[in-house]
Amino acid sequence: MTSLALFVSVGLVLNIIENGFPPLFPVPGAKLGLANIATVMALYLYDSTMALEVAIIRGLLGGILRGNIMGLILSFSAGLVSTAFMIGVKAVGKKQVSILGVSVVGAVIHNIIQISVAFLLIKEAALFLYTPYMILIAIPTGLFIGYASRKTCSSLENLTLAKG
Amino acid sequence: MDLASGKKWQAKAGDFFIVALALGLAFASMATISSTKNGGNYATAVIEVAGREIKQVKLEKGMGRKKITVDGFRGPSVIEVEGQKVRMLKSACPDRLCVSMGWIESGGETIVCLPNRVAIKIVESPKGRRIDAVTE
Repeated sequence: MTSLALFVSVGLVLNIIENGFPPLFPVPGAKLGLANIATVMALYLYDSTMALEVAIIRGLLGGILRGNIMGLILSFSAGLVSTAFMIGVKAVGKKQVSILGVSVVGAVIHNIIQISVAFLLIKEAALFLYTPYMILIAIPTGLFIGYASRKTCSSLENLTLAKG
Repeated sequence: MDLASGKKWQAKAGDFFIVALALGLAFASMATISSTKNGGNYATAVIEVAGREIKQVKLEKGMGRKKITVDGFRGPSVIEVEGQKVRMLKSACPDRLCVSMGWIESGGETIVCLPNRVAIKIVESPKGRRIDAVTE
């Protein structure tokens, strides 16, 4: 319970920090997704349940804090589905896939779901024109998030090892 | 520091597979979009005689030469369409100002032949860019 609260707050703070940045990409809606570090870390330091809980609570709280219903629906659904996919890929490819690959899967699925849900909400087929760019952007951002999570996780692990 | 945990976090073959798969997905979706091209930004040439619309011609890349003859007040006007460009080829008016305008190709451009009361206007497709706002 404490760790859950910790991961959620880490995610929310990262979200706030990221919103302070100017947009990094020329495509509207594309961003680094720093907050997903919290979900990836929960998945790797704890388990799938923890990751899902973090995704749900962070999605709801983040959306409410931003006060944008559209944004809440988009990021909540995308966060949930992408977390489910990350859990799946991690479980299936235990030996073959590292945290980097899992994070890329999360980023790509997040963007695809976001576009699809946005399409369901506003029924505008032109949204799909963004798909290739969103996927292309998701690869480096996913790798970055994976890398950052890996750094943090291995440092934290060393820390507990040193303590124990 | 810790070799054991270093190995645990190392990139694995599946990671490259996932990145390759994502790249493939991106290019596949790009190909699908360019092949369907329903959101393309083609323009339409609207031909009017005395302010009444007579005909609309889609202006698309790769379309061959096409001649359209319309009857104006003084006689026939021959309009030629080639790909994305359109021009007045022949006109039954005395000064031929419309013919000397040459090709027009971008949205909002017009050729007007006053004596023959024939006008050609290029109208950009409203479907071209329909996104006006995106929330994150």
